[in-house]
Amino acid sequence: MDSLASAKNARRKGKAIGAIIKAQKIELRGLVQAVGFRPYIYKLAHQWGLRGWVNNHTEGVTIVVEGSEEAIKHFLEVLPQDKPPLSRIDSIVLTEQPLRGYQDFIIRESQEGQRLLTSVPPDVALCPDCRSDLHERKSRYYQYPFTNCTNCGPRFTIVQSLPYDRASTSMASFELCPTCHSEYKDPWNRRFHAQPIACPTCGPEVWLSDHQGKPIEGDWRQKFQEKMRAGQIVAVKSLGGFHLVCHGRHTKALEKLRQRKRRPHKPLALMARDKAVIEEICLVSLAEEKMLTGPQAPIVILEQRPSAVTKLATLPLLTGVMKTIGFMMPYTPLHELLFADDLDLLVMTSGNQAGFPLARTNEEALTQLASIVDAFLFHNRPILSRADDSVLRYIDGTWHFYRRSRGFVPDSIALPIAVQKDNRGHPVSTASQANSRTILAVGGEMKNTFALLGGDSAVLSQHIGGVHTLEGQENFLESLQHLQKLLDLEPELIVCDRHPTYHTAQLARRWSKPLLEVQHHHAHFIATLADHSVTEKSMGVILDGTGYGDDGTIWGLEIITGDYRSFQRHYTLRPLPLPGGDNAVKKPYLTAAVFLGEAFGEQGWEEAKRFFPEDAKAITRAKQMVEQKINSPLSSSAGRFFDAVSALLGICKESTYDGQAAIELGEEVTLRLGLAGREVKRAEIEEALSLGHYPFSIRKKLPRTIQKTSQDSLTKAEQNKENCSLLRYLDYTEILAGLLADIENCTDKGIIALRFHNSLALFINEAVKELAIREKLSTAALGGGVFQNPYLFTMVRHLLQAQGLRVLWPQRIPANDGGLAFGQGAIAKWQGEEGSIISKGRC
Amino acid sequence: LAHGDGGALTYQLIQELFLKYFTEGPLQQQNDGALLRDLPGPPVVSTDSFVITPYFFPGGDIGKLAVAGTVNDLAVTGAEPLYLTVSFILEEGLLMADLESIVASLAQTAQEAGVAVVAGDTKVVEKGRGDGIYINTTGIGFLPEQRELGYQRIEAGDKILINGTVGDHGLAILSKRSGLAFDTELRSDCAPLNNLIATILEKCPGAVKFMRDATRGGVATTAKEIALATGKDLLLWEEDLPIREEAAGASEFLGLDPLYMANEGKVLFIVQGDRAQEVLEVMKEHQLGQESAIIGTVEKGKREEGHVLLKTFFGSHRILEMMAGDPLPRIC
Ligand SMILES: [Fe+3]
Ligand SMILES: [Mg+2]
Ligand SMILES: [Zn+2]
Ligand SMILES: [Zn+2]
Repeated sequence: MDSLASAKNARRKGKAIGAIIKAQKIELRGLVQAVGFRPYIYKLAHQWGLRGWVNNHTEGVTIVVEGSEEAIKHFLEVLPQDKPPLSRIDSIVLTEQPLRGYQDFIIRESQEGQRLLTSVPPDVALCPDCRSDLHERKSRYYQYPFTNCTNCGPRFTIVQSLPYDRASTSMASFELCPTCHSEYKDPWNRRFHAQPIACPTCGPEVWLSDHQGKPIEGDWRQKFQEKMRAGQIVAVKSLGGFHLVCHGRHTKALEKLRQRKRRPHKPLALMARDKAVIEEICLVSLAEEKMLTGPQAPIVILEQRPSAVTKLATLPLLTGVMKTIGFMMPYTPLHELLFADDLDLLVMTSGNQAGFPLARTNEEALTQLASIVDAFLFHNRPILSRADDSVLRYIDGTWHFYRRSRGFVPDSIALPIAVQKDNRGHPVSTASQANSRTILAVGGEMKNTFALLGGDSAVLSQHIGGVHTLEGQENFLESLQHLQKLLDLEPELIVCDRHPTYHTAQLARRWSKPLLEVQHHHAHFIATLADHSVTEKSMGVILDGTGYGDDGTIWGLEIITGDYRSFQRHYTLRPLPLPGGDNAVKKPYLTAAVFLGEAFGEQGWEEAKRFFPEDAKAITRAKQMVEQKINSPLSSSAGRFFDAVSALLGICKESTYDGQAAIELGEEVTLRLGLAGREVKRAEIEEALSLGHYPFSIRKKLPRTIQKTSQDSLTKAEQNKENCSLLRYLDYTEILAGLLADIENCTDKGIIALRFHNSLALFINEAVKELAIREKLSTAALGGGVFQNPYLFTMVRHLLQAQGLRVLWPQRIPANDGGLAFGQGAIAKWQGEEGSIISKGRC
Repeated sequence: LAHGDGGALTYQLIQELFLKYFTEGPLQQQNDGALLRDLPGPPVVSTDSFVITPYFFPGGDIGKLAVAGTVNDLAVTGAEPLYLTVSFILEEGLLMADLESIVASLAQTAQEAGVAVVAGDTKVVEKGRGDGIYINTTGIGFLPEQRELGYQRIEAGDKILINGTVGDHGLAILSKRSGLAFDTELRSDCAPLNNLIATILEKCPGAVKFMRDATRGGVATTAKEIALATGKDLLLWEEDLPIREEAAGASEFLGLDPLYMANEGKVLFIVQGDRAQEVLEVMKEHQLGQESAIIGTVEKGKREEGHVLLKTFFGSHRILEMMAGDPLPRIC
C-alpha cells in the first residue's frame, strides 16, 4: 500500500518532463460519493489534459489517468487540496498501470463489488446556489421545492442501496425530463450526476390536504401560509420524516400545539427564515453561525439575549424557564418556501405521537397525526430512512452533540488503531486481539441509537428513540436492516446492555448469535476513549441517570479506572432507595424526600413534608415503601441528585419530559459563565468557584441505615467485600445540610444551584486527583448524560486540566445514551475472539 | 396454639373446630379416606398451596383464598368442581380465634361454591417455621360433555374478555402488608368463579374457547402464556381495560403495573369473535361479572413468537413481556 506522501516522494525523484507518458491508477476511500467528487475529478483531469476514467464503486472511487508525468503530478497535488467541500479522503492508494491509450476522460457507470465498510453519504442542507435558484424568477427551479445539486440535497434518507445512484434511491421512479437529463450529463453543470436532480416538469410535487387527507385546491404555498397566520398546525413532510409546524409568534397556535401534543414544558425548536431573525433573539458566535448555515444545518441550542422576549413575545411558551432556545435554518428547498415576508419564524417539532417514531410515510402521518394537526403538507418523494434533526450545543469552545442524527448519519467514525502498552510501557501490537468480526451494538433503552462496526470504523445509526413500543421496535429493526443492507454487513457478534429488561437487550438475547453484555457506564466510558482513539488504561468520570450495575443496583456516578476489557469502580454516590422506581424519577419531589430521609432520618422526612406540604401524604407513603422495601431499588445515580436539588429549589417538582428537573437546574447556572459560543477563561472559573460550595465527605463505609434498607443486591455487593475495599462513597448529607441552610437564609436560588454544581465538581476533582496519583494515570474520560450540563462540564474540565491531566469528552458522539452503542461496540472490538464474555466490572 | 406432646389437647380442639364447620359428607365419618362416588364425567383434579401475608386482608382471608384458588383452577379447565381436600400447616402461636375465623370463612366459601370438603389434615410446626398458617387444597371435579377448551381452538379474530377490574388483589395485599394508606381501601377480588363460568358455558355453548385465571403475574403474564402457547398475538386495548381509579392511582405510585398484579377472582376468556357480545351480556348479569369487558382481540402472530401488545391511549403499542420481578428503573 502506497500513501500519498510516498507518492510525492516518488514524484520528486522523477526525471523527465512532458514527454514521458504514463498511466496511474488512483484509489480513494472516504466520503467520496454523492459529494460531487466524480465531476470534480472530471474537471481536474480536463484541466491537466489527462485521459482515462473515474468511477464510483462500493469501496470508494477509482481514477485512471494517462498523460505526462508532469500533468499527473500536478493532478495528484491539487486533488486533495481543492476537493469538494463535503468530501473527506481517508486514504489514497496509487499504482502504476500499463498504458491503454484512452482518447478522452470519462465518467464510467458505477460498479458493484466486494467491499469493506464504506461511507454512505449523509443528507446535505440546501446550498447557497440552489437557494438563489429558488428565488430567481428566471430560473427553471424558481420556487421548486425539490431542487438540489452535487453540493446539496437528500442522500441517506432516500438511498436504498449502494453505490449511490439515482436507480438506488427513492427518485428512481421519477424519469428525468430532457432538460434535467442534459444537466445531469453535463460535467460542467452544478447538477452533473446530482442523483436526485428534479424539476417542476419531471420531479416530485407538493400538495396540501385537510386533516383527513383530502387535497386542498389552490396554491399550496399561499394556503399553507394562510394557515400559519390563522394559528393552525400543519404536519409537513420534511427530509427525514414529518414535522409539526406552526407560527412561532402565534400564542394560540403554540398553546394548541402543546396541548394537542401533550407536551406541556419541553422546549420547542424553531426554524428561522434567515440568520438575522435568530440574531435578534439570540447571541450567535461565529462557530455557531457556521454550524447553523453549514451542510449539516442542525438544531443549535443558543443563548437567548436578555432582551429576547421584547423581540419574541411567545418566548415563554416556546422555552418555558429555559434561557436557551434551539434554532435551525431552512435545510431543504421546501422549508425555504414555507416562509414569507411576514412569516419569519416557524415552530418545527418532531411529527410523532408519544411512543411512535417520526411519521415517515403519508399514510403513517395520516393515522398518527390527524388528531394533532389541522392540515398536512404532503409530497410524493418517499423517505426511505427516518432522520430526526440533530441537536448540538457549543460549550466552552467545543461542540457537544445532544442528538446525532440528520446530516451526520451514517458517516462512519474511525476507530482507534489497536496499540496497547505492556506493563513497562512498550507498545504492544494488539491487532490480533482486536475483533475482526462484524459487530452490532444495540445501544440503550431511551434515546436509542445502534452501531455497526466493521473494519476500522463504526457507523452509529440515526436517532431511534424509544424502543418500548412495538412501533419503536419496528423502527429499530427496520433501521437496522436498512443500514446493514447499505453497508453490506452481517453482524457476527452482538453487544447489549446488562440491564435485565432493556428491550434492546431482550431482543439481542433472543438472536442466536454470540452475545456480549456490557455494563452501561463501562460503555459510556469507552465511548469517550474510543472517540479519542485512546486505548490505554485511563480514568473515567461517568455521571449519568440510570445504568444497571454489576451488583444489581442502579448506578449513575462512577469514578473508575479501566480499559476496553474491564474496569474498577473507585468512587460512587452513597446509594439510596427509589420508591416506585421510575415513578420517583418522574417525581423529583419524591426523590428529594428520600434524599432528606436518608441523610437526616425522621427529621429529614418531616423536613420534606414542610418543603412539599401538598404532597405530605405521598411522602409518607414513599417512606413506608422505603422501609418495607416495596419496589424501592437502590440507586447511586448523579442524575437523581440533580433531580432532588431541582425539586428542593422549587425549580422542577415533577418532570414532564426526560431529564427536565436536572436540565432546568443546570439552566439556573449555565449563564453564570456566559458559556455560549466561546471558551471560558481561567479567571471566570475562579470567580465562579469563589461563590462557594458545600462541604462534602467521602466515606469508606455506608452508613448503617443504608445497610438496613438495602435490598438483596447490596448484600451481594457486601459479600464481594474484598473486591470492594477500594470503593468510596460521596455522602450527600453535608451538601444537603449546607443547601438547606442556604434555603433557610433565603440565599438566591441561582447561587444555591451554583454552589451545588461547584460541590460536585470539587468532589470529582478531589477523587480524580487521589486516583491519578494512586494509579499513576494521567487521562480522564468524561461521559454520561449529566455531562450535557454545560456548567458542570466546563468546571470539571477546567479543574482536571489544571491538575495537569489530559481530559477527554465525547465530541463525535453524544455524551448521553445516544452514544452508548459506540462504546458498546468498541468494547466488543477489543474483547478479542474469546466468544461470549461479559465485560467485567468490579464493585 | 401450642405444639408437641402437650399439644394433644390442642389437636383435639382443632379436630372439633373442623368438624363444627364441615358438617357434611365423608369428613364427618372420620375415615382415613373419602370414597367419592358417582362422578358424572371424567374426573379432573387440581392442587394448590396457599401462602400469604397477611392472612387476613380486605376482601378475604387465606381460607377463602384456598377455596377460590383451587376451585377456579378447576373451573377454567371447563370442569365442575365438586369436592375439596384441605390440609393445614399451623405455626405454634397462631391465635385460636384467627384459626376459627379462617376455617369458618373456608367453609362458607366452599358452601357458596357448592363444593364439599371431603378430607383434611392438620400439622403444627414450631414457632418460627411458618408464617402463621399455610393451607393446601386439592379440588376434584368432572368434565361435563361438550366442554372442549384448549389452546388449539384459539384463532385470529377471537375476542378477549375479563369478568371485572384488574389488579385489585395484588394491590390490596401489598398495601395491607406494608400499611400503605391510599385514599380508598383497596379490596381483593378473591372469589370462586365456578358458578359464573358454568353459567356462561351453559348459556353460550361453544362460544368460549379457552379460559385462564389471571393470578400471579396478572393479566399480562397470563396473556403472554397464551401468546407463547399459540404463537398468536394478543392485542389488549388500554381504554377498555377495567381498572379501578384507586387501583390505578396506587399502582402508579408504587411504580407497579396493574396488568402484572395478581388477581384471585378474574379469568381471561378467549371467545369466538362473533359471540363476544353475547358472552359479555351473560357475564354482566352475573354478580361476579358486573364489570366484565371485552378487552382485546387475538391476531395472527407477526413474528415467530407470540406477542402481547397493549394499544395505548395514544395509539402506540406497548410490548408486554412475562413478569420478571419488580420493574427496574430504565429512565436514563
Ligand atoms: Fe446512560
Ligand atoms: Mg392456582
Ligand atoms: Zn445545491
Ligand atoms: Zn426535469
